[in-house]
Amino acid sequence: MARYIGLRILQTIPVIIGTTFLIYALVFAMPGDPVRAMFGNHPPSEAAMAVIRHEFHLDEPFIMQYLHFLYGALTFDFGKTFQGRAVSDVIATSLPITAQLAFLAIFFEILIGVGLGIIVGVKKGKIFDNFILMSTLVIISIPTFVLGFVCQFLFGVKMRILPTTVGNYVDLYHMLMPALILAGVSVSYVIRLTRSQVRDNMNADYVRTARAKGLDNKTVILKHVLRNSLLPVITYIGADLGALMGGAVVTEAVFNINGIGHQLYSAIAKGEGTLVVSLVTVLVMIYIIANLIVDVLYAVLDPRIRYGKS
Amino acid sequence: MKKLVTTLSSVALLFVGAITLSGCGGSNSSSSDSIISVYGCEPQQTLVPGNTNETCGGNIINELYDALITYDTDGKVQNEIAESITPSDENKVYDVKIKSGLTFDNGEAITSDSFIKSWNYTAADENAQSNQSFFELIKGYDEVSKENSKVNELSGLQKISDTEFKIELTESSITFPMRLGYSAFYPLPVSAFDANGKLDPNFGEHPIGNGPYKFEAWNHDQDVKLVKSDTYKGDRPSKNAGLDYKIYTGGTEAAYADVQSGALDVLDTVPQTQNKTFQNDPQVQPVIEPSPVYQGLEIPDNLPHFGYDEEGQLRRAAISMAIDRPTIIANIVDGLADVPAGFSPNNPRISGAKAEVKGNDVLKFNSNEAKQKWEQADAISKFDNPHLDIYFNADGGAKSLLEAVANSIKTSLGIESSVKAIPDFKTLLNKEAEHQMDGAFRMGWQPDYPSVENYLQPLYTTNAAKTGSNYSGFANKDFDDLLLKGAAASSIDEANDYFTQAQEFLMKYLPCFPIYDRKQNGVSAIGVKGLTFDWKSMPVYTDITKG
Repeated sequence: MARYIGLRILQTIPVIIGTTFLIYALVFAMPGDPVRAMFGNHPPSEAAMAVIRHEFHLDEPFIMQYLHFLYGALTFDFGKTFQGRAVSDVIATSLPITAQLAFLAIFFEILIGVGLGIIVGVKKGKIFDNFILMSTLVIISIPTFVLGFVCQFLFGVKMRILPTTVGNYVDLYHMLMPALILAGVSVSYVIRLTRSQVRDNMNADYVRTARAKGLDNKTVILKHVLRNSLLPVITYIGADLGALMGGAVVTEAVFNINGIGHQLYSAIAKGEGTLVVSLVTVLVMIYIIANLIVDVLYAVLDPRIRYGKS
Repeated sequence: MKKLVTTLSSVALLFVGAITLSGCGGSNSSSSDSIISVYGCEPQQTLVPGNTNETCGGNIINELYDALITYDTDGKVQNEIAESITPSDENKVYDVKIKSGLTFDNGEAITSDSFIKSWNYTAADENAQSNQSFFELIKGYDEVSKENSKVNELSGLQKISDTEFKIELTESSITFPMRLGYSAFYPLPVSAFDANGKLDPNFGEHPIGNGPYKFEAWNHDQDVKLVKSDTYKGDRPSKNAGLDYKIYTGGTEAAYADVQSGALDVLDTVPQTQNKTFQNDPQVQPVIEPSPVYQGLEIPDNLPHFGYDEEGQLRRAAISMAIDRPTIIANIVDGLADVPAGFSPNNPRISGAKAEVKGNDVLKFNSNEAKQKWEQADAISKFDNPHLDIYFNADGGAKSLLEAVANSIKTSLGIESSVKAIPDFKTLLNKEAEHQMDGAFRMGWQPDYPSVENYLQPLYTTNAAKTGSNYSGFANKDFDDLLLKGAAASSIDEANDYFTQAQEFLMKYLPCFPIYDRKQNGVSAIGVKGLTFDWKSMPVYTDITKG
C-alpha cells in the first residue's frame, strides 16, 4: 500500500510539469500587454514600463519565463504579484478560505446527499421519493448564481437570519449559506446516485441471503447495501472536491468570499502568468491528492481491490 | 462498515470544528458605532500616492493625504497645505509657500522637501511609478524619463526655504495649480526615503500620511482600516472615528446586499442590476449626483471615409445625429444620465463646464438631418464599406450600450452596423494606442482635475496622440492653439473662454461623439447620515456619521 501511494505521488511530478507548462503557454498567448494594461489613460514612460517588464521577466522569451518559474518553484520561491505581494502569501491566505468552503460543502454532500439517498433508495416509489426526485431536478436546473442571489435576498436581506456575505468573517455561521448553495447541485447528484445504487443492491442476491440469515433491516442496509453502494458515490465526491476548490468562482463572488477562485479569475484578467500557474499548480495537487484518497478508500470499501501487488 | 462511517463523520466534525475555531476571531470584532464601514476593492499596487492610479487604491489614499490644494463645490481651487501659489512668467513659473505647523502622522513637519523628494521619486524612470507622467509639465522631466537616464531630480523644482519652493514648467499652464490636487502630487515624509532617494519598500503596506485619517491595518483582499488622525489640523476633519474599507472581490452586487441588510454602511456605486430599484428600495438610502464621467464613441481617422476632410465631417455629424441619446439613456442606464451638451459633462463642479455649447445641434438626435448629411457625403464619395463595426471590451459592461448605438445608426442611416467584442480592456487599449482599430470604439473619460481643459487637452491635441489618450487621430493646429492660449491666459475665466471656443471648434470635426453624461449613484444603510460626493464622485467620507 505504502509503495503504491509512493508511486502515485511520484506520478504527480510529470503531471505538474505538464500542466504548468501548458498553462504558462496559454497565459503567455493571451493578447495584450499586461504592463501597459496597468496604466489606463496615463502610462508612464516607456523606460519606466521597461523597468517593470524586466522585474517580472516579461521582456524575456516564453521558455525563459517558464524556466524562471520552475527554478523559483524548486527553491520554494513562487515570485511575487504585480502588487508586490509574495505569491506564496496570496495562496496561504486564500487557500484556507476556499478549503473551508469546499470541505463544508463536501460535508453537506455526505450528510444530506448520502443520507437522503439511502432513505429514498429504500422507500422507492413513495411520495417522499417522488418529492426528492422532483426537488433535486429543480436544484440541478437552476444556475448557482440565481440560487445564490435568491437565498441571499430571502435569508439575508428579508428574513435576516443568516449573514448576506462572508468578507472577513470566515466562520461556520457566515459560511453556512454559501456552502449549502455550493453543495446544492452536487448534493442533488449524490442523492440520485446513492438512490439508484441502493435500489440496485436491494434486489441483489446477497441481500436476500442476509435477510434469510435473519439479519434485521437496519444491519442489512447499513452493513451490506450501503457499503456496496458507496463506490461510485465516493468517486463522485472525490472528483467534486477538486471541482469545488477551483470552480467556486461564482459562489465566491455572490457571497464575497476571498478565496482561490477569485484570485485565479483576477490573475487571468490581469495576465499575471506566475500567479495563475502557481494557483493552478496548487489546484492540480489538490485534485491529485483527492483522487488518491478516493483510490485508497476503494480498497477499504471493497476488500477485493488490493493495491501494490502486480 | 461502522468503522468507515465513524471515520467519515469524525473527519467531517474536525473540519467543522476547525471552521468554528478559526471563526472566533472574526465575529468578536463588532464595529463600534462611529467607525463607518465603506465599500472598498483591493488596490492594484501598495498604498504609495505616486504609484496609485486607480480608484480602489485612490479611494483610500485620498483620505490618508492632503494635497497643496483642494476644490470647493464650484470647481474652484482652495489652498490646503499651500499658503499661496503665485504664478509668474505667463503661468510658467509657480511660487509655492507652505503653511507652517502642519505635520505627518509620525510627527514629522511638512516642508518643501516633503514635496520635492516625493515628486522626484515619482518622476524618475528607475522607480517605475505609475503616476510618472503627471510630472511631464515640469522642467527636467525629459531628462529624468529618458532611457538609462542618470538624472534623478527634476531641474524645475527648486527649494527656496523649508516653507517655500519654486516650480518651473516647460510651457504655460493656468490649470497647473488645479492639477496639484491629484494624488501624484501628495507629499511624503522625508524619513521614508533613504540616502539615495529610494522609498522604503514597505512604505506602501504601512503608509504614513498627513490627511484626516491615519492608516491602521491592511488585510489583503479583506479590509483596510483607517482611524481618525489626532494630529490633523487641515480643513476637512472627520466627523466619524474611522473608516473600515471592506474589500469586495466579486463586484458591487454582494456589497449592495450588505447595505440592505445593514452589514455595510456606504456603497458608492450602485450595481447595474439595481439601477431600476434602488431609488424605491426601503432598505437603503439612495444618493444621486452629477459625475465628471461621460461615455462616448470614437471613430479613428484612418477608417476610410472618416477622415477630418469635408466628407468625413459630414459623415461624423451624420453618425452623431443618428444616435437616439434620450431613448438610449432611458433604456440602457434607466434614466440615470443626461444628454451631453458638449465635450465635458454639464457639471457645476467642473471649471468651465457649460450647459450649452454653440453648435451642439450635432449632439442632438435628428434622424432626418443625419440622413441628409450622410447623402451629401455620399455625393462626395460613395460609402463602399457597407459595415460600421463598433468595438467593445468584453470584460467591461458596455455591450448593451453599444448595441443600442449600433441599432440607432442602422435605423437612422440605413447602413449596417454591429458590435464586435475584443477579449479585454487591455487588448482594446493596446489596439487603440497602436492605431489598429478598423471600426468605431467606446470611450469613457474620467478627468484628473476639474477643468474642461482636462476633457480636451489629453484627448484631442496633436501632442496627445503620442503621450496622451488621443486615439481618434485628430490633429489640428488651430485647436491646439486655442488650448495653448487658454493655458497662458491671465485668469481662469479668460482661460475658460478659450476652452469653450475649443469645444465649439470640435463640434465641426467630432473626433468623439459624447453619448451620455453619467450620474453617480450611491446608497447608504438605514441610519447612516451625510453621504455626498465630491467632484470626482468619491464619497466625502469625512462627513459621514451614524448612530
